[in-house]
Amino acid sequence: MPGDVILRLEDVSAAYKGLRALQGVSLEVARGEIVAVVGANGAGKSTLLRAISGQVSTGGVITFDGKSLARVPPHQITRMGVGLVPEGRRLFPRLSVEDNLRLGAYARRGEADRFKPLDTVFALFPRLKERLAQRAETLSGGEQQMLAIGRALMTQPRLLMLDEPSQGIAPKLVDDILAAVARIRTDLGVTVLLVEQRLGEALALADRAYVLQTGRVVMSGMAADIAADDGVRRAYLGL
Amino acid sequence: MTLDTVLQVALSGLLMGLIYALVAAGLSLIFGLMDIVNFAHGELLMLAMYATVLLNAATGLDPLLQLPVVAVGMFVLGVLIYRCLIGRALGVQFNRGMVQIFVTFGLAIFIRGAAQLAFGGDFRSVNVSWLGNKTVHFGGVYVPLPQLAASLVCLVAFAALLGISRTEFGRALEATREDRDAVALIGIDRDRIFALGWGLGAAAVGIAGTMLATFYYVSPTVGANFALIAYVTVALGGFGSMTGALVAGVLIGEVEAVTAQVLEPSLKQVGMFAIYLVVLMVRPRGLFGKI
Repeated sequence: MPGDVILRLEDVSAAYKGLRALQGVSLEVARGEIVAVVGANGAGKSTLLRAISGQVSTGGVITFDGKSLARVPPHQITRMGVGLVPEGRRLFPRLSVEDNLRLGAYARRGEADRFKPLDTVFALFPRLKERLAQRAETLSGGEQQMLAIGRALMTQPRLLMLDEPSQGIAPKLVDDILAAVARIRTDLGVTVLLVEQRLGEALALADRAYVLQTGRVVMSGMAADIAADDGVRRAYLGL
Repeated sequence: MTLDTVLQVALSGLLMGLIYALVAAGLSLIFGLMDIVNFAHGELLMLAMYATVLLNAATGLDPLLQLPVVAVGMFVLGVLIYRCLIGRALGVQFNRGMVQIFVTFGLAIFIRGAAQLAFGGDFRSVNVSWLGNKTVHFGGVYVPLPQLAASLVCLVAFAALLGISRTEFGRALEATREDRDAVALIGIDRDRIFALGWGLGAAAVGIAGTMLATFYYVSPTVGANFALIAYVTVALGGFGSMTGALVAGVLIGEVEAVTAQVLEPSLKQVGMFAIYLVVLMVRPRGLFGKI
């Protein structure tokens, strides 16, 4: 079990759009880990990330760095160091790539070096540097995903949560993006919580994984073990 | 019509139009930011006019000197309106659209009633003013100084609003208007942005009100007429567009002046609404609308 826990959920339940989406979920992420949450459509994966980022009200206990996130508004959770790359990316479509990135540092006004992560973002995604003046809405799906990750990195998170980063993206770019996620952990030391439908890729990238089914954690363990277990895959993941 | 008459009509249209533009800019800013029509916009104008008249009577200072005080006061009032009323209306669970319409509508009726109670129904005006009733003339064209000063101040205020939109805060405003839920992901408190947006919108109409009070009588119902013009201006220019508010404001000022000259002064609004109907039929999103 992880030692230095950065994120802990205890018996968390949540409803989303009137439906009970999470029931008694307990989960831990250690500093520096990549943890994957996998499961079929509708298992509650996105609701889990929404619950952590404060967008849905929850029962149970969620702590980040030892501090409770109960009743903390979403923008404060971001400022505490929890970055989210949401489903559908949610960029600001009419703003330029550069403005989308720079706004990521908006909450740090007054800090002299708040735009410093721009270099990191350009090193990870050189394409973004070529497209700085373009409106976000003119980017391809893969580039938009890169921009969404870059925007989240500009907030200087200690935990980065990604909701289906491979969704709607050309297969060639999926590899690039998942490779970037690996580098975000190794080069930047950012802890990663990854929700992903692509089981193989997610489990190959992660250290540990949780399997969600209809809002409950039905299995957890080393990612490699879960990947090797055909029974798990058939029983819970519909494969 | 002589050339002088043409120039005179064009000039009075322009001077009035710039004031309309600033009033409309405040309305458009709030609408563009959060899709809420402020039906109390005219009442904010009326409050700023009363504040100017009363301050003027109490201190004897020229309205131009009162401008910063009224603008800041209206900014604070705008923030308070958001914090106490609009923010709550956003959070309701049922019939949100209706609640959002009636909250500002109710506020308008409340402010108008309160003004009637506090100030009575009499017309009031600014007594002490450097420029009051003075005119200069170029050839045969007469330029009333209060109107000239008012339109110049409104133009400056308009430029300031455009300047703000180019700052980092302006981009945060734009981001909030594009996706009010996603700004939390970059640590922006949307309630703070909304409140500041209301503050700016109210300050804009407040500046227009102070300058208007230097040559226009004040009464509790004075806002209704200007608000109606502001709604037409915003729809004509395109909802949420600042450039649109400026162009449409001047256009409406001109059309009004020409109509008053060609038809009768009492029919001066006929032309403006005729243009408005034509634009709605030909180009429903307005001249500069994005939607």
